[in-house]
Order: sequence, then structure tokens, then C-alpha cells
Amino acid sequence: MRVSINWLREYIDLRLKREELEGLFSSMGFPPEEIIDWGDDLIFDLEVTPNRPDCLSHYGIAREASVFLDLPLRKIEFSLKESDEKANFPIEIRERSLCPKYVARIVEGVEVGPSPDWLVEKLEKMGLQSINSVVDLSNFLLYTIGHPTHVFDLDKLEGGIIVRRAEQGEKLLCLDGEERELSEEDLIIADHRRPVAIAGVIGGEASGVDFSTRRVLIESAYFDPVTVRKTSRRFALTTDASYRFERGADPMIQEFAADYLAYLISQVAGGRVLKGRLVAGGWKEERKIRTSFSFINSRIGQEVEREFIQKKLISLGAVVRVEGDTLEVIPPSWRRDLSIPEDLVEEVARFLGYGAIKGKLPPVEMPQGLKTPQRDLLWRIRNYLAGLGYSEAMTYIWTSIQADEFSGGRGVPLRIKNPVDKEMPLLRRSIILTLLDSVSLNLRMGRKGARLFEVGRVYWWEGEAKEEKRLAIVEAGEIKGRTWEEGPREASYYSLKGTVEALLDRFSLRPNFTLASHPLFEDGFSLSWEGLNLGVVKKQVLELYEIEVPVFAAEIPLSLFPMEIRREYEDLAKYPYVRRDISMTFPEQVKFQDVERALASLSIPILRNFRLIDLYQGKGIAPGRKSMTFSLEFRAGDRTLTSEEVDQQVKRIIAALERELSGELRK
Amino acid sequence: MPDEIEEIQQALEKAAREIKTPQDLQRFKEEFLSRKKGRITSLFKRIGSLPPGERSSFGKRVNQLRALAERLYTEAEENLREGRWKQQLQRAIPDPTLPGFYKKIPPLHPISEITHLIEEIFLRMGYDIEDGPEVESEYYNFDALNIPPHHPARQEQDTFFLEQGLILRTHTSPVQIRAMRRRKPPIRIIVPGRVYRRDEADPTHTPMFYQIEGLVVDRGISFAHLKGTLETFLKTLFGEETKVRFRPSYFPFTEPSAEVDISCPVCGGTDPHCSVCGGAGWIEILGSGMVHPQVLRAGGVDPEEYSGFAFGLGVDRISMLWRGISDIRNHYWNRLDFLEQMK
Repeated sequence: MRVSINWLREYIDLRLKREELEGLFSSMGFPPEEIIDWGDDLIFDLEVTPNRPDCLSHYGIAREASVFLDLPLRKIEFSLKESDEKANFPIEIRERSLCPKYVARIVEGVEVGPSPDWLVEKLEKMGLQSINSVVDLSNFLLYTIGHPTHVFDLDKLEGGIIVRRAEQGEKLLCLDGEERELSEEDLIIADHRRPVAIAGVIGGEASGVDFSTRRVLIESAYFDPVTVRKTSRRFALTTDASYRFERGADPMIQEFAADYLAYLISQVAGGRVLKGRLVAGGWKEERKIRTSFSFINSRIGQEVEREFIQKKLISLGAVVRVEGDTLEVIPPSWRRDLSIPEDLVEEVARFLGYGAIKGKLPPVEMPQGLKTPQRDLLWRIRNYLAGLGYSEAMTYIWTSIQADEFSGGRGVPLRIKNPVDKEMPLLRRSIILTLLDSVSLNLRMGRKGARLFEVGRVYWWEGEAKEEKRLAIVEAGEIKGRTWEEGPREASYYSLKGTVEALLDRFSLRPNFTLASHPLFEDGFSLSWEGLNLGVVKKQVLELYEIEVPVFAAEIPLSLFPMEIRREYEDLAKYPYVRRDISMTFPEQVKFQDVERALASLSIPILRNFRLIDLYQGKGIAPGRKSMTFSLEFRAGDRTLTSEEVDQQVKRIIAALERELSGELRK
Repeated sequence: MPDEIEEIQQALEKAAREIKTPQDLQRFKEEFLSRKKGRITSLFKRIGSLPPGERSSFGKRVNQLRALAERLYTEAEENLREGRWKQQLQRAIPDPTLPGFYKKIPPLHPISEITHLIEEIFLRMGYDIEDGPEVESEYYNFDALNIPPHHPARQEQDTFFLEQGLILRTHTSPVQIRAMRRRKPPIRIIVPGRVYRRDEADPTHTPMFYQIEGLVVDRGISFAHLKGTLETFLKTLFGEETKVRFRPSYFPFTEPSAEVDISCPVCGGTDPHCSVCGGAGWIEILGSGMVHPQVLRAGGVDPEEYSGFAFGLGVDRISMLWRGISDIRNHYWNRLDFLEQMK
């Protein structure tokens, strides 16, 4: 809302400097978005909040300022001379709930011409172009008192005014030159033949006032905010009028507005104001707020003087009755935002100044948040992965339809009706997919590789919307080595899997992976365990993201991790470890996991650690076979192990591997 | 024969200086200290042939010489050992100024760090952390927060609508309602999380960003409590010297409502060309207010008995202020060149 300071001074004796004005508007709650120097005038573009339509005019702002500054407000005064001839034109409201009140006046014998300079200049300051004297005055009135009026050329209206819903298929060529097709949802002004205006939004071209107009009908009405908003939104058309009506007009101002506009027209464009107003409907104010001084004080949090509260409420236009601690307040008709005691709390706080209220901390009788296990878990996971060299990413949650087909997600995807990017309408069912975008970007921007993780959610529809928190890890391309000591190495499946294993181990989780088939990963190169999936990302997926290096990825539901910190502890060993290494060959198709399982089935309690330390194929090993070297560590909690005891177990192990997996001990 | 002693002493000192190898050391030992044919031993052997009056002083001098030889020997031996160690070091550390071996541990995402920091402050003030769904109903996101359909503040053009009839939450405020229904007063929570608005991405907007919501509901909660809490929080986060300003504003879910500004953390209001505050000296940092009685009711809390305050702040904005990041999109591009700077 643009405000000219000179214009304001017609109603209030403002003697403030630019900075002081800025401060005043801010403390009113309307911080200036822009300040324009305009000759000897200053124009402030104020951000008026949607609850304060009463401040969408110069008089309204002056009224508010007068309460803040304790300055008198100069009322708008004029004396309207009516002719003897009585105004007569039928007005009928068919939708009382959408238009409770419609007031009109008729001015005859006007000579519509260009506007006088003072008027043109005032409108220019508001960013409006002059059209003709009568239309300009209607706009001037809007910027003066905030109430939108409309002017019709009475000679172009037939029969009378009807306020009704539009009929399906009716059309109206509007003042902006556009023809709009109306629906039953729209409230319109019609004459006895056709629509002539969309109520509270825009007038019709055919009935508008132009230089040939001799008889003017002034419309000053109250329209239901919701209806105006619906229509204005359906047509994607916001006008100065609709902006005010949808925020709530003053339902008691219609008569005054019609009179004042009639007066202005007769002064500027000549003509006779016909006797009497044409009125349909009416409005009864029934608002009354009951509250108390003690309530206001308790909500503000400090003692405010009763006189101050009373004085300010009266000066903002309310009728106030006091009985002991009780306050009965009838708010002024233009303050549609005042309806409950809390609204009065805000008024008092504003006039007091938020800065004048002394802050204090609420008493904490019962601290909450003493335990935050989920937050702590996430923090440990994040830091652990960073420690392993992965950067934390945060990605947008939308994917393309093609990418989603590889998500392997449950249910069906949730789809955005109005996506920012039409190519990306689905909510992700896998975080890996959205991380691939970041991998791709990094590679395109010249990075040789990327190791990223994200803690986030996946979303799907399964009769209802579902969300699951997950952790995803990806790595691709070149991984930096330890400075010059070791060169860079390539991202690898084993590196990624090792990261997952290390992370799980950090939380004492022992995965029992199975080879799995997952749409996101290449067949035969993917494992799963309890909802955890990892593997080599399919080439077709990488092509979608224009990634030309292999990507290895894992996705883990956060529910897999324990929220509580582990409490187990084993006493430090009193007896030494005995270590044996064995080297065996196996047929190629034997998997490491087969060896692990064979060992587990022997259940040897003194075998404490079992690690693969070498894998070899080639010279010295028969074709079709491979060699694995294992390190076995034995220990007992209650005695020092003898060589014989350990050897016996090693023999058992070798025998089992020979028997079950066709292993052969290497000599 | 004093001259000979001096002669041997000079030879001894010279030989000691020239010990460079274990062989040199061995030769030194044989030449001077050998019990059989060492030069000092042979001096001792000569004591008997001296006149009795000279024996004592001669013997004393030879003893001193011997002590010197032994000391030089031990020193040389130690130097040799030291020298071998030095050689090993020399091989291992050819240039002490070469870079050390390390692999950088990447920092966490700046949003994570700032969120953690803010959570920490509120946890210390006795708050709990709450959570809620990102896929929300219009009821929780708007209606329950006193934003009925067709309300001018219902920013539908900013909302992502899902075909399944739901929306992506546009703020963390729906968790206020969910938390009030789940908990009983006193309630003291913060809710960090992602929110979504249908904005084209530009340097100051992204369609997804992070918010932290705060909610306190108890008997006798006042606007002064809101002020005190946010002043404490902002001064803790931005520094004790930070000035905090409350301005009247409007949100449908609070009454009274306040917009909160802090003095510019970069220029403190002293630079008319400051790139952060634009010379205004103040930065808008969060929105807040007393919870509207309609909202309390929607949460199943009796507004006659309880009152509360709520606030919401944008984490991205704080992260940008914190670091001087000028383009918000950096938070979600995940370029390593960006992330690796976030130490």
C-alpha cells in the first residue's frame, strides 16, 4: 500500500523525519518495503498485513497514527447539496448473505472530462493512470478512505440493479478489455438484461463511465470476503477493489462513501446529486468483546495502567464500558480483526510498544527433552560417516517417473500435482536416486569423484501416506588417498560395503547379508539384510543421471539402528590370543559367506576372530580355483590355551572346509 | 716425562675427533686403552722406572689422561650410536617440511551443524525435540492453524499439492497441533524439519528448506515470556552484544503476533552499504506470537486455562548469515567444493 506523506498530513499533523516515519510504520506493524522521494513529498510503500484492511488508505493510516502518537485526527467534512429531484432506480439483492448491503446514489448532468492536476498527481503517486474525472474520483476515494466504489453510466443500465449469482455461460467484457466467462460461484451485478460487473472485483466495459456519460450511478456496497476471494482467484485477477473486499470492508461506511463520492463528482465534474440514497439491505453490528484488565496484563506479562488501556481503546474508535476489573468493548466497524480478548491484548501491546515489554524466561518447573535418543543416534551416525570420509548432503525429495521405476520402493509413489519441475513429479522412494543428482553435478563441475551420504525420508502411498527415515550412502569415481603417501584410488564395491559394515559394527549390528535382486542394483551385485540394500547401481539408472563412472550405494532404514547405547562389557582378557593362519584353495564359485557359515556351524567358542587376509588366483593355483588365506584367533576366558587344543580345532576347521566346500590346504 | 704425556693427550684428542665409524672407535680403544699394548697402559708400566719423587705426580697425571681417554671413548661411542639413529631418521624424514599424512574428515552439512547448535540451546532451556510428517493434510497445515479456506493468508500458490489429496507441509507449525494432541501441558518443544514451498529456486529461494518451530504451552505464559525466551536464544546464538527488536505483525495462528529482528551480525548497523542488511542495520530473523485460542482448541488445550507462545525460524537463513553464504541454493546442490568449506 502506497502512502503519500503530504496526503496523510491532510488528516493528521505529522511532523516526523524520514527515519521517525520509518520507525512509526514499523511499530504499527507495517514495515516500509520501499521509500520513494517524490518532489517535496515522500511515498512509503507499506507492507500492510492481511488482517488490517482498515489501513489500506490514507485516512486509515492517519487514524492508526493518531492513536500511536496521541494526535488529533481531522475528520473528512463536506456539505452535500442535493437537488429536489428524487433519485430513483430499482435495486434488488438476491443473495443477502453474499451482499448484505448495497447503497447507490445518482448524479445527473455531469460533464466527464480530464481530471484536474491535483487529482492526476495524487493518483500518479499511487501508481495509477488517470482515466477520466469520474473514474479517477472513485479511485481517489478508495485511496482516501479505503472503500471501493464503482461508477456506472446510468444510461447504459436497463431496468434496475440486481445483485445475484451469475448463470452458467454468462459472459462479461470487463474494463480491462478481457471477456470472462462467469459461473454460478460468482456474485455479479446485473441490470435487467445482462451482467454489468463482477461484484467487488471489476466492472463491465459496456456500462462504464466515459467522456460521453451524463448520468452516473455510484455503487457503494459490502460484499462477502470469501466470495470475492474465490472469484478473484478463479480469474487470477486481483484489483484494488478485490484486494480490500476479500480482506473485509467496513460494513458501516457505504452511506458515507456514496455521499462523499457524489459530493466530489459534483464538485469536479459538475452535475446535480439527486435527492436521497438508494439502499438495499443493511447491516447490524453485534460484536462485543468481554475481557478484563487482569487478563490483558497476564497475557502481556506485566502491569499496564488501566487509564492507558482505556484511553487507547477509545482513541482507536471502540466503545468501552468498565465495571471493576471487567472491560466491555464494542470495536469500531472498520476493525474487522477485533473479535476476541486476545485481539485487544495485541492492541494494547502494540500501542505500548513491543520494545517496552520487559522479557523474562518462563519458569521451568519440569525440564523436558532430558533424553533425545533419536537426535543422538543421528548425530553419531553423521559423525561416524564423516570420519570415514563421506560428506553430508541434503537433496530435494522429488524424482522423475523413469528414475522412480528403479526405486524398489513400497506401495505407489506420491505424486505432486503442481511440481516446480514437470519432469520431477514424484516424491522419492529411494534417497539414492536424489543423491545421484548431486553425484552427477559434482562430476560435471570437475570433481573426479564423490562420497556422499544423506539422512532423510522416503515417501509412498499405501492406502495412506507413509514416510520412513533412512540413511543413504553413495560413492563414485576417484577417492583421494592420504595426501602424497598413497595415491588416489577408485571407488569400489568393497569400499562401500566396508563402510556399511564398519557403521553397523559401530552399533554392534552383525548383518547376515543375502544375495538379493533389487531394481536399483545390477543383478548378482547386490546384498540385502533387514531392509538394508547395497550394491552396484544399474547402468541404466546412471544413464538417466548422465553419470559415466560406476556408483556404489547403500540405503538403510534408520529403524535398524538401536536408539539406546549398548551397555554390554566383557572383562579385559587375562589370557593371551593364539593365532593361526591357514591358506586353502577352493573352487571359484565358493563364496566367502559359505566359509563363514561353515565355520559358524562348527560353533567353536574359543575361536574369537576370523578374518580373510588374502585372496589370490593365478600362478601356482589350479585353474578354476582360488586361494583364500584366513587368520584365526583363539582365546579362552578361563585358561591359557595349549598348542594341542588349538591345533585340534584348526584341524576340525580344515576338515570341514575340505568336506563341505571342496577346500584344499595349500602346502 | 711430561712431554710424552702431553703428546699422547694431543694424539688422543685428535683421534677422538676423527672417530667416524665403529672401526675407528675400535682402533681408538686399541691404541690408547688396550690393557696389553695401549699407549696409556705403557705409561703406567713405566712408573716403576721413575725416581720415587716423581712417581706420585706422574701417576696422577697418567690417571687423569686415562680418565680423559675413557670419557672421550664413551662420548664417541654414544655419538656413533646417535649417528646411526640420525641416519635412520634421515632416511625416514628426508624433508621435515613435507606435508603430513592425513585424510580430511569432511565437515557435516551446515544445516545439520546449525540445527544441532540451536537444538542444544533449547535443550539447555528445558525443551524437548518433536517431529512430524512432511506429507501433511490441509487440515493440519492450514485449518487447524486458524487459516480457513479462502483466507488471504492461505498461500495456496506456494503449496505443493499431491494427487493423493495431501500436501507437502509449508511450515513446521502443523506439529504444534500434533504435539498438543499427543502431550499434555506443560509443553516445551522445538521441531526441526524440512518444509516445502512452490518457489522457483533463485539465490534467495528454494522449494525445500529447513525450519525450526518452537512451542510453549503452560498456565500463565505471557508475551513477556516469549520476548525473554527469544532474546535469550538469539543472544546466545549470535552473541551477547546482539540487539533484538520485536515488531507487530500478523499470523493467523498467533495473537498477538511479532516479527523479530536482530541487529546485523555482520556490520552491527554501522555500514550503509552492508551486503547482509543492506544498510538497514536489522535482519528479520523469525516470526512469533502468542498461540491463538483457536489453535489451542484445535490441539485439545483449553484456552481458558492455558496460554502459550510459538515461533518459527528459517535455518537456511541463519546458516547464510552465519557464514556469509549469498546463494541459498548452495545448501541443496551438495557441491563438495561447498560442503568441504563448512568447517
